[in-house]
Amino acid sequence: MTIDKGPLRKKDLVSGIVLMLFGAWVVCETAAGVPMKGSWGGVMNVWYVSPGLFPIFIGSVLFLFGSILASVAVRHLGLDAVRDAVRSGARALAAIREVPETVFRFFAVVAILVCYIYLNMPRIDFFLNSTLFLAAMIPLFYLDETKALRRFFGFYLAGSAVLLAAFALGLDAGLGGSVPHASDWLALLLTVALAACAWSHARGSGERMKRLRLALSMAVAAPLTIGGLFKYFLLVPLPREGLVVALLDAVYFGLF
Amino acid sequence: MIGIERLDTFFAILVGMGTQPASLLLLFGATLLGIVFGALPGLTATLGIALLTTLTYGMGPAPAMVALLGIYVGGVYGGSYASILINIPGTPAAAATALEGYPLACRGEAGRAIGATTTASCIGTLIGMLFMVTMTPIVAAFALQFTSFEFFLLAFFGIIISGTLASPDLVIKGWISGFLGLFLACMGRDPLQAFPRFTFGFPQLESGLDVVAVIIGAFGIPQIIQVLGGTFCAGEARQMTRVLPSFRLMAQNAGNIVRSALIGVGIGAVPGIGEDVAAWMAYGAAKNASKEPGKFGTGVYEGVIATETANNSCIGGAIIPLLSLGIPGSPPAAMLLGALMLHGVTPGPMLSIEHPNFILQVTAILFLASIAMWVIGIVLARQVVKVLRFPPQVFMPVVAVLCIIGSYGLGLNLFNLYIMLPVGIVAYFMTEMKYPIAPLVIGYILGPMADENLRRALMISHGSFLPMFTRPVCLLLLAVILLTILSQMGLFRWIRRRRDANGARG
Repeated sequence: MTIDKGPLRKKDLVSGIVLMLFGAWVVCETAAGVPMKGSWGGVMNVWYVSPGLFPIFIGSVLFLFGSILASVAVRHLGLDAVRDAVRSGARALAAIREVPETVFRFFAVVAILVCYIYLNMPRIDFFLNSTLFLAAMIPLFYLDETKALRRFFGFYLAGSAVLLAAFALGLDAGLGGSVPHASDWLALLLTVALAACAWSHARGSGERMKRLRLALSMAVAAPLTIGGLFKYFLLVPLPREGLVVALLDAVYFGLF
Repeated sequence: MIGIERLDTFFAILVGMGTQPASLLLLFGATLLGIVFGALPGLTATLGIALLTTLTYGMGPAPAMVALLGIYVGGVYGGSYASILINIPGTPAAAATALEGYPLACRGEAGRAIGATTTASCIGTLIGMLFMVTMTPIVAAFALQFTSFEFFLLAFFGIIISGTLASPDLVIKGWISGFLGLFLACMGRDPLQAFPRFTFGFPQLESGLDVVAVIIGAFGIPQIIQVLGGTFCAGEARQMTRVLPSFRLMAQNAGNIVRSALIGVGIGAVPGIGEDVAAWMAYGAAKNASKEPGKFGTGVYEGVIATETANNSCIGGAIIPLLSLGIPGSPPAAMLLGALMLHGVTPGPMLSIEHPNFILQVTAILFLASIAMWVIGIVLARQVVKVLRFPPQVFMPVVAVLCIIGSYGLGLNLFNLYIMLPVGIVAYFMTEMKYPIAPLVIGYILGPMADENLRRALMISHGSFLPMFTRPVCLLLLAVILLTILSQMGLFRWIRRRRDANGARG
């Protein structure tokens, strides 16, 4: 397998510069924040025992390697080509009217993971959160049709924005007094809405409906299996235990 | 006498494990899971071990090792299924297998090819195991003479050599990856004076980054993004016929098997480079040694046997530096190191003293795992290949849930998840820019060893680097490190080009 060196060297130039900046930051941050001499924790420091020695070494090496990488890239491309690449790159960026498919897919995966982990994980019951995540992720990529993909993703983002607003405004906590597990109900609502959105896209095509059925059954079965295994077999408490865990607890402890 | 005693202990452990139904069940279950993991394109043995580590947390070290080595052996072997049947390597280690395996499947010999790879993998694992059990105590005894300078240089050597050999593009990218790993290891309180470094005011960062979160992030998240973000398209699985290989075929390939196993063990013992490199090298060696090299690429049994023997014998090779020096020989071995540390077993020269029977225990597990793999491979192959019909767009999001609960489950800490995703996204970009990920993880694992030993050595020598140049092992390691670095520099390349040119003229 051969690697196309031209575009790769352009990326190397960027990553080389980023590494130089990062290495310089590591050295500065260590020099400013870590004592190279003086007393710390009852130990009298000299430079060679200092906790800053190793990070300064790493930062310096990263700076050096970054500069070598950038210089290799410049040597490969030529200075004029680098200048042209910067100009044409800026022009190409300005000319973009629609996000390319691969970039869109990357952002879709990352955005759904970010919502799953940072937004919902501390606030929504693990089972419901995982079902919501899978109900968004599986149909999005499994039904696999560019136009529908974007619409479905937009719908998911809008729903997540509603959740974010509810959490930010404290609506879930406010409702918590009258409606137990209010945030879980919101997540359930969004999951049902997502499933309906996917169904409206898939109807009319037997193959798509078959795929949607598999996607949705997986979205429900997988969290129940994985979460159940961790909670009741390995006795690992789940990140957030809410509506479904309360129900499962009632069933499990009722039975055993 | 000591040898007979050790053999006696080995058989006692083997019989003990082989007669315990729970142990056998765990072994067969983990090996089957490993095969399924390996067979599913996008999932690797490393990720399998990472995810299973969470499930073994409640177990003792011995059953945990049964499960983890079972999934390791099964995972490396399982990659051949997808390579042979759908021409998509289940794991990078099986990429070379696809070259010969798929043409064989197209000729209607998929079952026979899988039978041959199953037997070759089993023999490869057993040869690797033999080397592991004989070489580990020797290397460990030698390492007992090491002082802090040697350990620092050893860690440094691990990063440089893995960076050099694992890099798919410029070698410097491998080194950068290793140093980024070292930086990650610096986060938290330092190992000697407990001074907080790069904690940014987060109390959760004071104990450093969690090893499982970093490894799952570095290996799992990029795979999820690559499979879902790319245009992944699986081919139609080929039908299988008779699986049991003929004795004649294996006997004809005896030399090929031994040569490939030796390549696998050798490559495995070098820190950081894993089963994929071993498989490619063995494939190249088999082609060179073949009487009909022109037939390679059209479906030749020597090819699949060479690659599968090498990648499985690499397991034993990778465990040699892991157990004797605490330096993982391959990415799955790096994960195994993390798992061992979680179970209170610290690999290194002291292992034989702290846990006298541990190496024999690992040997017995590898032996049983290779048998379990062969039995499952021959008996259940037709059932296992059904997982190939499962679309990756469906199982990859489920793997994401597993990664997340796996990262969370060990420390019961949501912060691990907050760390895992950024590490994974950075690792994804690094992969896209052809930076190898294995040196990053090895750097992260060896970071505390390098940091602590460098400063301790300097403390003893009062800041002098002179002992580095007066101790023979230090000098040897230093020479290898410098040669590795210098060999990538312009002057060396110029000398090499001159020599080649002179050779061509001569």
